[in-house]
Amino acid sequence: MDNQVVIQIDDLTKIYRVGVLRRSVEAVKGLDLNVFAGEVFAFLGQNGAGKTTTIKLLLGHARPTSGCTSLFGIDSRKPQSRYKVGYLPDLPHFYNFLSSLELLDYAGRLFGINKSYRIDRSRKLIKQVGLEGRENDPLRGFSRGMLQRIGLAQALINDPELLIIDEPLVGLDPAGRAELRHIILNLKERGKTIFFSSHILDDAQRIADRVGIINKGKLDSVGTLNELLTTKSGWDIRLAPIANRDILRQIANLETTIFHDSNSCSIKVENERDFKTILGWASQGLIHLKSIEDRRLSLEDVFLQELSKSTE
Amino acid sequence: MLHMLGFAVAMLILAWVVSIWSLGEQGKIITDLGLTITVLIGVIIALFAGIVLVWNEVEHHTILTTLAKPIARWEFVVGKYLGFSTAVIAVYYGMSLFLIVFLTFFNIMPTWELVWAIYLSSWEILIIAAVAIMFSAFASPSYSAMFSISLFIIGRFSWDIRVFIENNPKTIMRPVLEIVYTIIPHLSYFNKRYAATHAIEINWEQIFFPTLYGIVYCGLVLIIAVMAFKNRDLA
Repeated sequence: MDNQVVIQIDDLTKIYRVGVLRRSVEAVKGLDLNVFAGEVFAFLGQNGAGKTTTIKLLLGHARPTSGCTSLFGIDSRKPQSRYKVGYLPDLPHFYNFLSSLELLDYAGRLFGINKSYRIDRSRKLIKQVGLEGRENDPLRGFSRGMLQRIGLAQALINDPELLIIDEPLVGLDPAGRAELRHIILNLKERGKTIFFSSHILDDAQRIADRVGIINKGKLDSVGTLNELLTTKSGWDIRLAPIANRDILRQIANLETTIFHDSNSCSIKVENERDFKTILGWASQGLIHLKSIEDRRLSLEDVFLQELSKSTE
Repeated sequence: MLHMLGFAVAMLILAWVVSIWSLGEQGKIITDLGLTITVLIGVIIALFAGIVLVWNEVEHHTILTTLAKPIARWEFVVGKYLGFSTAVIAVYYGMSLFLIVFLTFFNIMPTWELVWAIYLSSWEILIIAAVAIMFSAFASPSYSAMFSISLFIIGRFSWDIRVFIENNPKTIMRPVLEIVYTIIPHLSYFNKRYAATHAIEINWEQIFFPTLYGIVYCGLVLIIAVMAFKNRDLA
């Protein structure tokens, strides 16, 4: 991965004033984040965590209360920062009287793309997103999934170096999701940077290089999947069936989960103290160990752990 | 807009019907009523379509993908105004052309006064379109309509405000009236319907200075619109 910083977010805060009494709501709090060229970055969080607000601040759709954002080193409030950017919003809305080709033509013209290239690229993109044959159909007749596809096409019209997608897989059927994952991975192979927000952890785990978890406006953790999932959450121990009732009683007093029958016994150990106790029994010959495996957290575990930390 | 065009044509025909009882002043009645109707319809289109132009884009989120492109917010506002005003003016001149053709059926040939009156009235529409878009950039359609209509009505009476100020120099309301007079669009500058109806010459100063005023006023209103829209959160 290139070390060029494509997205830079420095101490970003956004406070909204809502209601008659202008109550302040901190949607984003002191967010610091860098996204590097060529990576797929998944920005994860619950609904209302601040993912979409962060994206809006990145694209200049909202103004930050404090802090700054930049794209390719250019202040993201300046239109020049978006020349190499493609954007697909959550639940995209387009002028529904336009056809697919007209929408892509409009998008291409906003980038100053010349006519012949625009037409050629529009047709290729329509084919790529699986809407061949629908070029001249008005968008008002499109389903949500079809709008998501044409939305992706308009985001790719300028062959962007950075693709920002808000909840990319919402509204797509399983085939559509597989296709979009394939498109994203294809873009990555071509050296593009993809920044997407999601609350579907499985998809993030499949395609992301790095993950950031945002919760109540704060970035709780950032890292590669290896870094985030490296934390041990315990051990899985398999042993021979235990005949010693005293040992069985002692195991029941530990913070473990035990599965025991006449053929096998497995214990899920949560903490190091209990793990050492069990190892001690094994060294005294009181139990017979067959295998020990480190249990690592899944992305969902990490996600839920971060959420629970913030409520403590 | 096609409906409005059809409505305007119907109104002109109605003007002709009214003129039947005009005792020989048919041409003047049709000219006066025709000019009034075409301007009013143009203003109505500019007003009611203009007040939702930017507002709808923000509410329906169609603006998000547009402004995610390398487009500045001022370009968006000015572009909206230019496109919208071109369409409205095209409708207005279409109605005016119909009026001119309609008059020829009564052996009333178009005069330069009529042409200049039509031209100057188009600035009324352009100004109201700019005002409507300005309010649309930051206010809801209901407030935009209220403010825009108020400015239009007061603007039509701008000359009367000026006369009142000059005839009552010591009124305690003078400072307020002076400010109001400065801010409101002086739409009475553009009203040459009397001259067109009675074939009174319209000299170059009566064309040039209102045009200059129209350009400057529209420019200032658009600057306010851009400033209001510049830091607005879009969603």
